Amino acid sequence: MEAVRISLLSSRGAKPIIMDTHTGRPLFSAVSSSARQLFLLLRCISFAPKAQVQITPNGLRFMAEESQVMQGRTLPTLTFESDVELTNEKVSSSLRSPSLHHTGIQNLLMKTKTRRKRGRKATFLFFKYLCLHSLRRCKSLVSMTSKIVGQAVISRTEPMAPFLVEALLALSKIEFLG
Amino acid sequence: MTGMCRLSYAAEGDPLCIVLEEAGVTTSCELTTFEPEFREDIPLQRENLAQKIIMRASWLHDAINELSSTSPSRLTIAASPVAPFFTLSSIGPMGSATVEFSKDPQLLETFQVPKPTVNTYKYSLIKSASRAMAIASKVSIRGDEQGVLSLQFMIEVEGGGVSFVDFRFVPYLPEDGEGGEEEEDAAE
Repeated sequence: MEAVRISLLSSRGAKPIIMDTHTGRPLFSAVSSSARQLFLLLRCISFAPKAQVQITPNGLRFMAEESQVMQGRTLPTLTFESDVELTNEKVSSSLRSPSLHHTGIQNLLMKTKTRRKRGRKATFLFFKYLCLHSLRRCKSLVSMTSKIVGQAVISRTEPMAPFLVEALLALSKIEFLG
Repeated sequence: MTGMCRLSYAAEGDPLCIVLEEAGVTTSCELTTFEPEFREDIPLQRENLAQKIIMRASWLHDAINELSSTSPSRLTIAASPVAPFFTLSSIGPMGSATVEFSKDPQLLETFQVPKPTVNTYKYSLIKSASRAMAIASKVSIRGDEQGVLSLQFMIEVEGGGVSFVDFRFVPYLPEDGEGGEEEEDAAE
């Protein structure tokens, strides 16, 4: 399958930011220099446990639904639309037709219920973190959700280190459960 | 906030990776992806709009909050080419309340209502859009002939950009004796 990379630049027109290349040629890759914008928009549709993410050549579209009588959707990439770049001109056919994927950790929650009763709370928080706080300021995120963050790595020694040890320990449990 | 956010999705079935970087702290998470299960979008017939009103979102926010004092379960939205032009009303166990908007262009920037329309929605669902109401600068309130309501919020973000958040609501079936078009089952 052809790969495509979409680079979302800041609306200030800053230079492109380093792409995520650890996976080789990802189907989709985007960078925003301001997590706050995304956070504010995603919070608007945080009423549902799951969101549908639609990947199109124009960017991402998030949609949440409740009881099939209400839908909320946000197009955060509109913020950057004029700056969206297709770094690979050969847009794959799968991206021309929107590809749909749900994001959530409902599966994880269910597994936790069956495997470990005490893990439920942690997993629920993990879920909340992913949906509501994943784009929160990093430092507060590390301190607030140190036990539930999927992965937290610090690049230099700071007083927060004890938190991170906890975070990584908790992470190993979550990974095991997942 | 200057935190950088990277999103990547390697291939179908892989987790969606979100990496946040700020001041030497890197936080990464992987979100399990599911098979999509949503049906189609709630259809809004753009060519058959019964109402289109654009106003400041904060005023809609204030009105919705005012009505919450009656602990309502339903919110009725009425628009008419003659006074009262645009009203939001609710009835709950603690009483009833109505907020009326005049047609002043300073209040309702756009007001296109060819004929009277009345539709009722579940209050708690409308209330779910509160966050968007609170941070948006403008809202476009559209309703089609079937009563499907679209609230489209324009949110100004740092750097002068604009984003949109769109909510759609299916109405309750109209009660006997009330105006309104025949509607599809709300399936609730």
